[in-house]
Amino acid sequence: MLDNSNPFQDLDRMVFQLFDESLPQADQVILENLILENSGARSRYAELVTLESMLHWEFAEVESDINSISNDQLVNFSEWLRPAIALAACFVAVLIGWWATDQVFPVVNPENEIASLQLSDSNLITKTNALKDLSSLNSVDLFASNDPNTIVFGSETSKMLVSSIKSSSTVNLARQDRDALLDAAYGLEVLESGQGFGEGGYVEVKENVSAWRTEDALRVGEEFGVQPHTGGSMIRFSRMEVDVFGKKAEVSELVSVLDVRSLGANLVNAKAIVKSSVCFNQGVGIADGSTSFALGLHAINREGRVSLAIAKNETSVTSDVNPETWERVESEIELPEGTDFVVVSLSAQKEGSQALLPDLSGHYADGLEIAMAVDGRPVYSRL
Amino acid sequence: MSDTVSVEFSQKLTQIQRKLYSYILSLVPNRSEAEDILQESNVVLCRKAGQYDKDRNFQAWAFRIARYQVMAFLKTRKRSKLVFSEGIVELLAEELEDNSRFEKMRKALSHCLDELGERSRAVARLRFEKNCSLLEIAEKLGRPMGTVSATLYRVRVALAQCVRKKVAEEEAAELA
Repeated sequence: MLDNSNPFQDLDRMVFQLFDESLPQADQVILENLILENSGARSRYAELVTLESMLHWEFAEVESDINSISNDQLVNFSEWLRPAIALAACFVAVLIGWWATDQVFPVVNPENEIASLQLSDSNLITKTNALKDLSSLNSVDLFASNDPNTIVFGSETSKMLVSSIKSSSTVNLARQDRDALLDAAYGLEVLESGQGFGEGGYVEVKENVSAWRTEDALRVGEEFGVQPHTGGSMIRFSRMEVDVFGKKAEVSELVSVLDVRSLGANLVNAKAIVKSSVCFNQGVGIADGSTSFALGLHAINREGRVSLAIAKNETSVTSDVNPETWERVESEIELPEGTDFVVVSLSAQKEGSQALLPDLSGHYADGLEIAMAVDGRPVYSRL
Repeated sequence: MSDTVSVEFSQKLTQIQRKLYSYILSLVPNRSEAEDILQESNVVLCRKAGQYDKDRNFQAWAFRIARYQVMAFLKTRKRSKLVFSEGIVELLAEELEDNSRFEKMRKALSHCLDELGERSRAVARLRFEKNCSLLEIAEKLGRPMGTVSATLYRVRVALAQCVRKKVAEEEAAELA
């Protein structure tokens, strides 16, 4: 495979080392001189770096050709949408930056683990405080405490316990699940604290079931040619997080956390089922194909500061590109013994080239319904 | 943000993202830094959309702005082992503005990737798709780092040779 007759063999090696950040300083000088003085070396470098950039950009697409949604054809859009679509290019500009800066929990986000700050006894916990405090931990050590299920973040001078949600061995959490459960971990603590509200949501008590509701903060009126399915507002998804090289974009939204601890022993002796349904839609964008939407239900077992996602059910639907039609999905989960909370989340995902520009139009949900029954007897419902 | 960004402009900007990234990476051969500069360049391009003359070559205009962004980056960043001197960047920038073979190379690469063996593909996926470092790849695959490095070298050489060959064949066919 190696080409011994290649006059640029040394240059190739140095360039590849450069790409892998393993080029010794001395060789860098040699490489610079080669590029500076030899036009053939310059051309060779240009060729290799072009290939390298293509590998970064194209590899995922080439590898997943079969699975990717190929929709390079631009949809026609009406004249009235043009002003909005005209800002599309600026999304390109902010998209990657947002994607990069949106990674706010790098330290506390190992596989399948979602953490939130421990709730202070006296103060209302806020997400912004949590973000601030956690972001300050970038340079400190991460180590496990004596309890293998508890993660302690701290330095020699300060330690801070966090609560977390992990997946059980039987539940496989996707990336979007982890994002929603990160928010849910905060909701759990608000519910456990007995407070009536928290940042971005409030606690609603219906039929003896407390629920942390966050969807109202996401509601908007008609936009991008999409009218609410019912009433005057609908849930708008936040901007999608984009994996530029993987050509994927996704976002998840926590909409509710139900506190079902009051069911207690009922879950041992009876069949408790939570059903939910919701409708999804998307606006028309410059390069929008369909979007994969999902409604997720997670059963959470609370053990001290650590919670376990012990069951999950998710139903997905692929939307059409017509903003006038809504796609409805239903999801249902039987609560296993030990369930303390039920998390209801929504997610949206795009793949392929269109994932690079996922937010030229909005993604929406509306008509959310959640109902719970024990042995067929309704114990909770909300529209 | 400019409120005069047209659909045509946005399409053009979208279409040249790969080439723009390639151009920037050539001048600043570090993936994360190149991504940052691409982002900054896109912002500036959007802001200057109103100044773009439709009769001019969009790519050349975008490359020029990206080049300014690269130079600005070099001025604000301390020289490190991964940053070329400004003189070399200027020289390379001239060289790299002619990327007429880009699409041919891209097409050839998609065929060449199919020819990779399973083991090479596994390493390449981790490096190029997942952006894992050599050390991370070695740990994931349970192989010595030297082996991973050698595999990646062979993958790059093989792909470069394959792409070169296919592009030459295509150009020969065009001439025939």
